[in-house]
Amino acid sequence: MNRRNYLIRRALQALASLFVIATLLFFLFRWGLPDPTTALVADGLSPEQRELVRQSFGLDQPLWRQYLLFLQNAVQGDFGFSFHYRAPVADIIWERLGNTMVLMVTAILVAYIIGVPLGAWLSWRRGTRADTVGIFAGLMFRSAPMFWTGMIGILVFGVMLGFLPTSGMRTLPYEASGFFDKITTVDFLWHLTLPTIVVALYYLGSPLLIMRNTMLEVYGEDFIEMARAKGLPERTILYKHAARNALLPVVTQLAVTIGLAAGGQVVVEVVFSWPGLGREILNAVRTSDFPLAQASFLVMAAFVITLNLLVDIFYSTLDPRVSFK
Amino acid sequence: MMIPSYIKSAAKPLRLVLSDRLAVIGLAVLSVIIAMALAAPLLSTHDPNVVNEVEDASVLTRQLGEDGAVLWTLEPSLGEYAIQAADEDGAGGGIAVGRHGSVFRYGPDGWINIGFDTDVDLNSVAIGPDGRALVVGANGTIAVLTGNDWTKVDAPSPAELRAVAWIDAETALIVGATEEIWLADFTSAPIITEIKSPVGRGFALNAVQRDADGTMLAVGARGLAIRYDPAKKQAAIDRLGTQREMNGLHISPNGHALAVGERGVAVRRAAMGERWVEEETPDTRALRAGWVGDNGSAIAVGRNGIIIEHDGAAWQRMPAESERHFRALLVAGDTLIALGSDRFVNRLAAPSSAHWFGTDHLGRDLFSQNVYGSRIALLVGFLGALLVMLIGTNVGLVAGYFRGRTETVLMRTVDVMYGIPFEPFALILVLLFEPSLTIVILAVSLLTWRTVARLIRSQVLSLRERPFVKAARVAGASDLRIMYLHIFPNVMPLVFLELAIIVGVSIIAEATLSFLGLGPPQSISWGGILHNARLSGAWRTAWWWNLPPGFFIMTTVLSVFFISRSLELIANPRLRARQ
Amino acid sequence: MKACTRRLGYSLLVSTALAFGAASVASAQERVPAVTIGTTTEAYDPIRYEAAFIIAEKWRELGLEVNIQPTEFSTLLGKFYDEQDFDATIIGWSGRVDRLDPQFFLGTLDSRQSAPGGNNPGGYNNAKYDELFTAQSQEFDVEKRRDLVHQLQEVYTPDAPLTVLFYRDEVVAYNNTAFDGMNAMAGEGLYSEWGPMQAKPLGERKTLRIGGPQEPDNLNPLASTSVWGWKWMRLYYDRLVRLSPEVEPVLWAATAINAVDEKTIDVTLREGMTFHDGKPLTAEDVAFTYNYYKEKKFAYFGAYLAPLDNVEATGDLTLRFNLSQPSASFANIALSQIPILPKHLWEGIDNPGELTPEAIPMVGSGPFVHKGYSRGEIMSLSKNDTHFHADDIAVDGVEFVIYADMEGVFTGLQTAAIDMTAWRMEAGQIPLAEKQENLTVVSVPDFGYYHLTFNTRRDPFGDAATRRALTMAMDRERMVNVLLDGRGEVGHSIIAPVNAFWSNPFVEQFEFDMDAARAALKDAGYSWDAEGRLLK
Repeated sequence: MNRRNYLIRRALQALASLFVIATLLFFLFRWGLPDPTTALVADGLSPEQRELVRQSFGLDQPLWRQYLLFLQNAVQGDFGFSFHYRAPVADIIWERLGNTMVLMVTAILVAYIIGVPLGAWLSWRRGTRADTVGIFAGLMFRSAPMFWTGMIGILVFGVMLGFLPTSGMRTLPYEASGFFDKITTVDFLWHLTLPTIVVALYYLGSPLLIMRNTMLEVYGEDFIEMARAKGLPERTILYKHAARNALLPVVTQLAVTIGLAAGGQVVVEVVFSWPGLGREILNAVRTSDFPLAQASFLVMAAFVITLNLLVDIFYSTLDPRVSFK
Repeated sequence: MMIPSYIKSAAKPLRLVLSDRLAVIGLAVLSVIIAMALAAPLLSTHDPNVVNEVEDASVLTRQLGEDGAVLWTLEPSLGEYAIQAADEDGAGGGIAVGRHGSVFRYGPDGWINIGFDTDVDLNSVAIGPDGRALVVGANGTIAVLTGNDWTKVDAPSPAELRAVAWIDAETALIVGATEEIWLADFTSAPIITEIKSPVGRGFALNAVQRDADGTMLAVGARGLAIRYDPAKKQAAIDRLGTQREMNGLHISPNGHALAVGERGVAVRRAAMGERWVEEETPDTRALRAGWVGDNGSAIAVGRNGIIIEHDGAAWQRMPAESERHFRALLVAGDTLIALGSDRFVNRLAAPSSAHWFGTDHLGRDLFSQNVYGSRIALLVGFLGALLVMLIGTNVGLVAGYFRGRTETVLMRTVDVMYGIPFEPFALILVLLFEPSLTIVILAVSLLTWRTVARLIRSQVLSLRERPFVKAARVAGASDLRIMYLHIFPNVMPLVFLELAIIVGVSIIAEATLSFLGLGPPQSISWGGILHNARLSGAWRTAWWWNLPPGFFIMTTVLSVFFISRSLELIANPRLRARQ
Repeated sequence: MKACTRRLGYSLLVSTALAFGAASVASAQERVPAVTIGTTTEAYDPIRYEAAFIIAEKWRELGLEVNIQPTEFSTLLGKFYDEQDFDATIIGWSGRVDRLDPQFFLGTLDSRQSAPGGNNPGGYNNAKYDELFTAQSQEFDVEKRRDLVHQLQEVYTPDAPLTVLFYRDEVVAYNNTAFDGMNAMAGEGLYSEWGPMQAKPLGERKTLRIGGPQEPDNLNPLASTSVWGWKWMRLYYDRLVRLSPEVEPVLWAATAINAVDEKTIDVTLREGMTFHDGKPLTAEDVAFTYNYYKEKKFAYFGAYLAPLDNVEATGDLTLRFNLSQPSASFANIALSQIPILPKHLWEGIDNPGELTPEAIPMVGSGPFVHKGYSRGEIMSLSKNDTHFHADDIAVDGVEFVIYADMEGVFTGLQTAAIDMTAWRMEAGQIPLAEKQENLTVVSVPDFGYYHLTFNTRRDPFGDAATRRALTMAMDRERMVNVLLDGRGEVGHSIIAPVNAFWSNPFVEQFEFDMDAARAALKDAGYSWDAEGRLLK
């Protein structure tokens, strides 16, 4: 099998995975979650009145018809109307996903931009006190749950010192309206600071340690010995030769992390009142808002699967031992 | 012949762990936490679920600060039982009575414990014109205190007597919890006469006072008011204009009257014969006792440290040093004293010798909660990790070894699992079933084995092409034998490494679920403590509530990571060579 | 100390059990099977969660085996109302203004509502109650109706089909340096429809900012089924009648309402009203709105409009409501809840429930004008200067800031980003707010109630004597003291005391009394085995 066929095959497999996930979710929700109109009892709606609401949601149709309709629309990119918001699901998801990604991607990039050079430097200083402190710090932030560091951050910077905003994305009154206008305001960046620091600290450990360890491996390779033999300075060897070759696993890890980021870190969104997709999906599941929950899950799945696919392809081209069977 | 290789591969990581300083520290810390979990019942100082309440004979006096601001100041406690009532003696002193037979006299030298000969709960005291004090309480207790001598009076029934007031020097009226109205006559030998109530439905009467015209007014449940006329020896219904339960009544000599009750109700009458007017008070919680002077100035006290004063225009809440429950007011000359306190919840107490890590919003001991919290964390951490390794390793082995259709199916399943986000999935599980420990472990393991399976598979993929596997195959070894006896020992280091990492991941995952309120109910976990702290809204001030659990989570996970780091060296021998 | 009394009570219990056991036929009796108390998860409502434990502790002392099952809220509702699969469940009704009329709460014990999905899942069935219920719903004389309502409360309480646990005060706060004139309304708190109309700005900013932990589901008057949606929409839609802060009906868009007979109501409209787009508001619009709601079968208003047959415009400003059955509450409740929609914008819309947010005509005639809605962030209104009530409104607009939870709302209040909370504060926030000079904390009694409902179809709760005994064994005083920190009241009737006109203060109250509970169980034919377990 040649490379092109392999790629096509993998892409088809990814699509198949998405289809399986969509189907699983569809039936899981309808069999497992409570009736979406149950909550209306608290508003005093009678069973007949609730039946009307159920009809307006299309839930009076037979399950297979609902399923077919769902597939048919999903293929066209139409995920229907949210039961709760009475608005197209796609609009809600893009908005929330945007909020999530701004926070997560910023934080992850910050973590990698700091973590990668720091890891390289630690490998160079291996065995010293700096190395130990670096490893300790990286692992420590990785070990502390984000909701806790977030709470402590709010306590210290928001409540005690009072100079960083602790919740939401902006302060009143709002000036910008579009998404890009919004995220480029100073006020927004100011709100982004604390959650970004908290998330970045958590993610810092992985580029740091991966980089450090891969660098140590690379030091053993022949070409480094060659460079040394040529009498190049250690610093040049470190950053030009070794680091370049050690970047591969870090980049892979970065791709995987960003893929998983679409799901957001629900706890961070909760602690910082960040209107992201993670919180929205919890609400959608809680209120049995099937269209919104289905689509949110699918979007997250699509993200992860796509990035994993990229990583797979990337690897298969690099490691000849994995043949295209 | 193959077994020793297992032991060897298992012993190697242990040696490695022991040779790494950080790993040894990690191992030590983890052992301490495991010991803490095992010995939780011994270590904890309190039952972690019990609401800690304190009863106390509390005394607060009204003090004026330098800036003239009023502050009700906490005085030394009189004992461990609540004060229920007090009366002044007209000479700057008074007597207070309370639960468990407490009797105290207040005078120029402060408080003196007089005591009662039984530990019955005393509910009311009235000092007569001749200085005799009449005390009533539970089980039909009636006693007269002359000087320091007690005289008991036999009651017609063991009723719960709530209040007493003197009519004149020789007669007094006693009222009780099931509408008892008793006339006590001390002219000669004490005689108790039961007066027929005009209502007769067994409603509680909580307070009684002598009105300015010499009649007696009793108030109680459902805003009930009964007026007893000593001349006619008859009781009749009166109206206060409220339907709330009335707890306290005070009438000044010139006829100013104040009745206070549940839900912050205060009704007032300016003079004998005037209408009762309900006044707005600053709190909706129960008022228990009131005092009104001839000039109409008034004070009322209630539960949760509520002391309100009427400044002529409106009721104002006064700052008090304590959130205790007040039951009585004693106006002894110029000294104003508020007395209580029934059992009050010891909420949000800062760390002290009684509660090392303080208490939460329901007065539960946080040290004990943190100690017990280690159990869930470790249980989920290790059980979850084992389950993950079991699934992940086998899937990885099978997929990597057999390849072909088996691999496709398994690895597509892994892909599908990758596409499912953790928290929402756990929520679905909780909605599908009931929140429980099993669900948490299941959620953690179902969504973590995917990583392990992938890692193991990729390792197996390269191992299966190695010469020793090929040799075994040529020698006719079965697939199972090759997989578990030839390949598996070679992935063991990776398995150990992953196991350690997954333990850490599981602990954080459990904490996350508990923090989101999806954890097992009726159990205590570190994440759950943080969940409560945030939910209660008190976490910004109660630092003792949110610091320790997070610190415990961090320490536990960190120690596991330290151990895992040393294991990495065997999983990746080239690293060791360079270290 | 506590353990000590318990042990004492226990041994006492055992000895009485033994004494009576010997004399009676206790050996022929069987253990009472375990019962399950359903409640919310701790995350959803820690109060109801803990309340279950307080109840279970005392029931267990009586020798009953009790399990507690905390369940996610929607699942709990489904099991309770739809499946009726429960022994005893702790749940609550919120106090919405329209429920001050006793019709709704009394209806929850009507046996005709006991089918699955109905409001009486406990299945209480009392013919006398049903008869009185029908009588009161058709009684137009308010004094007579009150007698009937009082009787209803006296009829059901001795049967103890449910235990009203407590009414919980809503504790809210506002910034007293930014706004003045904030009056709380029972069941609504500060965020009542009058709040924005009465608030007086003290500072530079004249726009009132309200902060809430939730946002409306949507702002479509033919799709929104949430309190949050309607609390906002009623600010920019007018109604014929509004309920005053004292919860008296006040003529609003109507200037006269006359009941011609039991089934006919004539309404005269105020002159000179216009919609926000400048078009005049006439009787045609009002008639259209009511008929449109009927025709589109909008479920949320289904109960209000059930007695209505149709509405006809009899002139430019006069209308006639034709009812299909007499209804005592129609004039107050329906006329005060249905918004007036502009006919010219809605008549062409056939499927109003499917409108995308952009397509919804946000045009009303109310005292405020819809300005914007950014989902998850903010909603805003500006003042309608041409409204007949405009002179009495001091603010120039209203903004509703949406937070993720009460934590966010409280931070907003502390940092003066908002002026008042739309929802009650958490227990731990109240003392913090009380300490802050510029915040005024307001405690508002509620007439909604938390209750434990027995499934009267299941043993052992089919028997009124058992339910009575178990009610006596509920330490509700403790719930109020410990869980609510005293901010609430033990409940004795489904009509709360704060609803003073309808509440009957003389209903039977079940004081917490374990001895009485034991005696009542014994009278009901229960006994105890040697371990103190309950037998029947």
